[in-house]
Amino acid sequence: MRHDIELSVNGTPTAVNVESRQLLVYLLREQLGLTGTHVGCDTSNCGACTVLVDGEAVKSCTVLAVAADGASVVTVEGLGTGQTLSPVQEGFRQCHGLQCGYCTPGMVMAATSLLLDNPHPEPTEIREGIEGNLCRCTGYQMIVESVQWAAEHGGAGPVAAAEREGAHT
Amino acid sequence: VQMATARLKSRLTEIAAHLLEASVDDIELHDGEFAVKGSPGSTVALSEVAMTAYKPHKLLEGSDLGLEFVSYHEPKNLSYPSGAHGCVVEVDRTTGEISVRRYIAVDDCGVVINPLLARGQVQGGVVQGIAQALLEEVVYGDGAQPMTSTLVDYCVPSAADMPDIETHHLEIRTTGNSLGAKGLGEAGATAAPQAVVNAVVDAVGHLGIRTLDMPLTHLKMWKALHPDLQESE
Repeated sequence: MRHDIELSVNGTPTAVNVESRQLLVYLLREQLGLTGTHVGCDTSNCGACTVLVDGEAVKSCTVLAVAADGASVVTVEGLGTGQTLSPVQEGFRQCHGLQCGYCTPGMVMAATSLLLDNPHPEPTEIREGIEGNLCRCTGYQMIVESVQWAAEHGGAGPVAAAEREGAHT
Repeated sequence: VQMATARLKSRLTEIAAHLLEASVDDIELHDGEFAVKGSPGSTVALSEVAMTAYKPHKLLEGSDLGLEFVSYHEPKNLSYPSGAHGCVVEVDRTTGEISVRRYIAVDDCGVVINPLLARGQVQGGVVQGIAQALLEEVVYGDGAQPMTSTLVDYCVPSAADMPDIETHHLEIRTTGNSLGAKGLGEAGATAAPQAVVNAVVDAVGHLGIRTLDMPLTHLKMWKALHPDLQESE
C-alpha cells in the first residue's frame, strides 16, 4: 500500500508518495537524494542515520516514513546556513572529531540535540549524550572535544534552535 | 608527498625566475611571494606563478605545462616504532565490572608530522584495544548458532564506556626515510589489550588469580572472583 505524505525537509515543504514499509532514512537518501544521512547497521545500534525530527534526535532507520507525515525533519545537509557550518559541524572540523567520517553525520545530529537539551555539558554528560552513536575510529575523545568547542561557540546553532522552538509552539 | 612537493617547488621557482628575469639561484619564497635576492621591489605572487604554469605563451619555449607531480618512495628497510602503555583499572569485586580509570600511552613514531592526527590515531587505537580486552567477542551458541548478531551484542564500545587517553611522544628519527617518521596507526590497538589485562591481573593477583583470558566481561570476572558461587551444571 502507498501513502501520500507531506513533511518539511530542511525547511522545504515536501510532498511524497511512499510505501507503508518505507523507512524514513530511505525516503531521505533514495527518494530525496539526501545521502548525507548514512545507514550503518539498519538496526538502530549505531546511530549513523540520526536526524532531527521536530527538533529531537531520532534514528531514522527505526522510523517509518509515514510516521513523519506532518513532521519537520532536519538532516546534516540542513544544519548550516548554506555558506556557514553550524557550530557543531565547525567544532568537528576544528578538533579533528572524525577520521573515516562514516559516523559523523549522525554524531553531529546527536550532539546538536544534546546541546539543545544541555547547552553547557560536562565531558561525562557529552559521553552519555552521544552514547547511542558508535564510532570505531576516534576513540570518542576528540568528538567530546568537538562538542565542547561547539558549546563555547554558539551551541546547537540557529537552524536547530529554531526547529526545537517550532516544535514546542 | 615531501618528494613531490620538492619537485613542485623547483618548477615554481623556475617559472618565477623566468617571470622576474633572474637566475633560479637568486629566487626566494616568502609568505606566498617569490622575490629576487637583494632586489626588494622584484616580486611575483605564488598564485600568479601557478597560473602561469598553465599558459604556454608565457613560459620558456619547450617548458612542460602544469604543476602535477607524482613521486614514489620505496623504503630500504621497515621502520621500527616502539612504545610503552600503562593504565590504572578498578575492579568491582561484587559485580566483576572493570573500569579503566587512567590510560597513558608513550609512543615513538619518529618525527611527529601532524600532532593532532597522531593523537587521534593513538586514541582511536587504544580505545579499540581496551574494548578488545574488556568487551568484544563473537559468541556461538548450541549447534553453532551465532549469538553475536549486532554491533551491540559484539559490543563495540560507546563513548560512555571509555576513558580519556593521555598521549605522549618520544621523537627518535628513523634513517629509513627523509622525514624521519615511523608508523603509528597500529600502536594503540596492539598495546592496549596487554596493558589492560596485565593491570587487571595485577589488581586481583592477591586473590590467587594468575591468568585471565580476554575479553574480561563482567560475567567472566565475577566467575573468577567468586569460584565458590558457580552455578551447578
